[in-house]
Amino acid sequence: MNLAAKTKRADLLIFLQETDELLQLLDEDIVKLEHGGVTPDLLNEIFRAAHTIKGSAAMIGHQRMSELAHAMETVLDGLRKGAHQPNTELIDALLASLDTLKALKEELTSPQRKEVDISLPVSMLKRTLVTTESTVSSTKLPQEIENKIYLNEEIKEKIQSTLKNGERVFLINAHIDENSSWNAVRCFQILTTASKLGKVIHSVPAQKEIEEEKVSFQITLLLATSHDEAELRQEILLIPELTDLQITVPDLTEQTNAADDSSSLTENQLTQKPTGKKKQTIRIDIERLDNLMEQIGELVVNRNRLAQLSKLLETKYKGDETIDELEKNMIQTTKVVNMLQQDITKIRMLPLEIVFNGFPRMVRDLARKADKKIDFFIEGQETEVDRSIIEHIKDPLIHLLRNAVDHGIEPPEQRTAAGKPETGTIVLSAYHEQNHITITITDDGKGLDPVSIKHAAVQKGIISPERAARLSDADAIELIFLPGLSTAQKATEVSGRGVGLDVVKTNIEALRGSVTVSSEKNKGTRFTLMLPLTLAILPALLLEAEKTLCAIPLADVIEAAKVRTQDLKTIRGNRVIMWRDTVLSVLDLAMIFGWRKPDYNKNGESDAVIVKAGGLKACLIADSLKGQQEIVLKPLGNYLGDTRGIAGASILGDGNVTLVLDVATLLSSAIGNKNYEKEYALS
Amino acid sequence: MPANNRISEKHLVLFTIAGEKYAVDINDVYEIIRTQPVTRVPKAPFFVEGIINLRGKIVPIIDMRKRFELPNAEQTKDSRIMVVDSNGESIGIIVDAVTEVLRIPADAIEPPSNIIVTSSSDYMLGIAKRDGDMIVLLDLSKVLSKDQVSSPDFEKTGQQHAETHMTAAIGQ
Repeated sequence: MNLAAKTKRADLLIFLQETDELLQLLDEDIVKLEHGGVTPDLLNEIFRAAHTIKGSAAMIGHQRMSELAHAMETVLDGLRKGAHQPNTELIDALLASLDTLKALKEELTSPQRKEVDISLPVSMLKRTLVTTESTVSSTKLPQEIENKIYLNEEIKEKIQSTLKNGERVFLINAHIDENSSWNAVRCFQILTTASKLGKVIHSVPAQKEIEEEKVSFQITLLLATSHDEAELRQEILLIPELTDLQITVPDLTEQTNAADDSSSLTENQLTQKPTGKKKQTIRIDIERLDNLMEQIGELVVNRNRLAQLSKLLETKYKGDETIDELEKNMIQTTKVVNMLQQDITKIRMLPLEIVFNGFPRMVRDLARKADKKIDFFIEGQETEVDRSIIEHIKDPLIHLLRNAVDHGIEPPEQRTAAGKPETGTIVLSAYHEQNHITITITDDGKGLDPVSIKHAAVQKGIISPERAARLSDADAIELIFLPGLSTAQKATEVSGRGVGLDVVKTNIEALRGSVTVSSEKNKGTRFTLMLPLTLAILPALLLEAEKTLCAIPLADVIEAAKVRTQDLKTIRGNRVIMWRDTVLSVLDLAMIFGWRKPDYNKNGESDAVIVKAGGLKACLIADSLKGQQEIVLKPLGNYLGDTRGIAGASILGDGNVTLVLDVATLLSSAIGNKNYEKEYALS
Repeated sequence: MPANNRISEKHLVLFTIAGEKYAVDINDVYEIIRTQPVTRVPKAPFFVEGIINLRGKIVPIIDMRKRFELPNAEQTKDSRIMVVDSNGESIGIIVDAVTEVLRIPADAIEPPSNIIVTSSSDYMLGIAKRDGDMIVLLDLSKVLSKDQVSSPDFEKTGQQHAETHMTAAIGQ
């Protein structure tokens, strides 16, 4: 595809970025439209987005993209004017067009793609126009006027200041004879006349458009003037070929399009407020932000060290004035660094909205494909989480949502037969709880059947029949997280291949979170994800194993303990210990890491840490525990790659390097599913 | 030397491992530091000693003797860690000594295929001759690649490997 001459690479990048945002906006808004939220604000926003895409695409020479956007614009314009209502056919046409726009945009970044054909979406759009054509009668004019000039903040301000100066503001709408071949000239004349009589605050079409003859047979102006209506009328009517002239005072207090009772309109009812989404933002290179974060992290670690040293000095040189000064200063510095830490942490936080915003569309499409009726609600999308989590949470959530649509919600006939409402409900909810985030996906579908799950697990050889018999219903349901288990009759396009939920669990655990499920047959299912509010700075427990320092994130630590060798037992070759009525695997860190040969004869006591992660618990034995510290987690880098059990490393205040353990993978690779066996072997 | 040779000149850092002379392109070397205690990393490849703290950055350290399967030796006061570039990441390699920096004309470097037949030529960019010395110009990307561990050559003992290498290098 050839771009317009003079299109620079920078222009292209800007186009891609902006179009990306607009396409995303359209995605969300069109779905909102379908769910009955038809407000003038929404329609205008969608219209403007299509309009902007049309213009920008034309500027860089993407002809087809501009044409398609134009076709969308026409349909949307009709929607805006109330000429037709959004029905399913129209929404489908809009969504199809949106998808084609996305593909057209992709053409720019992958030159080998063959050119996308726009004739299908264009004809879909045209069809919706045919069925609902209606002429705009003259009684509709007042509404038209409202629709033609968008009173954004800037214009409103100008109106206000005009009024303050004692002048008047008039809304002038003139119609030109449709048989005239001089409509551009007439528009120009009207504009010029008005300009002589006062100041034109705004005009549609704008002066430039008139000069380029991009006019129709109507012109609307906002004029600030000291003349009165009669005088204006007199002057303007001197212009030939006018068929109608309306001069009114723009009503700033009343909304004539009263289609929305629920929206939060303030006293500026006619103002085209940009939707609250657009905060003041600037674009920053992520790398710079991450570097900043890292530096702050280091600052925190060093502050801790300084505080330590300061205390030491204080005890050593009690009463020395200079040392006292130092101590005071340290307290001050600590306060400042703490605040800096909090602020920086917030910078890394992003609202889950970013992840959630594509979901309504996805659920809608999936439901349509599966011929199911589903209402989808999202709560708590403003909940903020660390950026590192945002990146990795999307895929697991997509999978769970797909499951809910494909396997959870029943087809409408089945639902009615079961006495449920025809339309199923899926709710995605997120909220803060203490120091973690909880995300739940709830559906009111057919629920999970513990019996068939147990059956499938036994059939696939995942557990033995005896074990299956002993499982409670709640535990049986948790079996779905095991790899290889899928009770779907046939794999659907995206789920049911038996590889899904265990991957979801692994991914969530990689974020140091956990996922659980609860369900009631025929009532519904709920998946609960818990994620830590990960910060780059972790409070951790330091310990030493065979002279190597290791740190365990405190979030994974249940408690520190002392373990006597004689309390250790062996079950099926694995060492375990009884701890508060639970049987725990005992793992000697130095042995697991290969730093020391197994030595089961050592007598006496050892320092140990009881840890939990990813649904597993264990007792880790170390040589000595060294206390708590805040550390900055640093990745090991691509070279050392995935070392199971190690999350990264950290540099302590005194310069020493400590490994940071990833308890979840450590436990799952050392114990794996044997947890089951242990628990039941002893019972 | 004809003027047009000036463009094709290599700027190299020379170092020794087990008595042999090696060199890498100076542009790939970030810095050279003294050896220091290394924190070991469990389950890393056998030639990875561990990681160190380099002014706040975690840098993996490779022992080149182990990497080339040469006999182990005590570190001396001349031992150094060369911090080099590997796809944008910094990796440290432990060498016996760093001897000098030199420029040599590109035509003084022989491509490996002329001299050596073993697969260890995979990580040689060439052999440089200078004052009768043989200097092996290393291809860092191959040396640092983890895949190399399974090259057939590594099945020989370290000694055999060194012998083949030396013989080939000297062979004229």
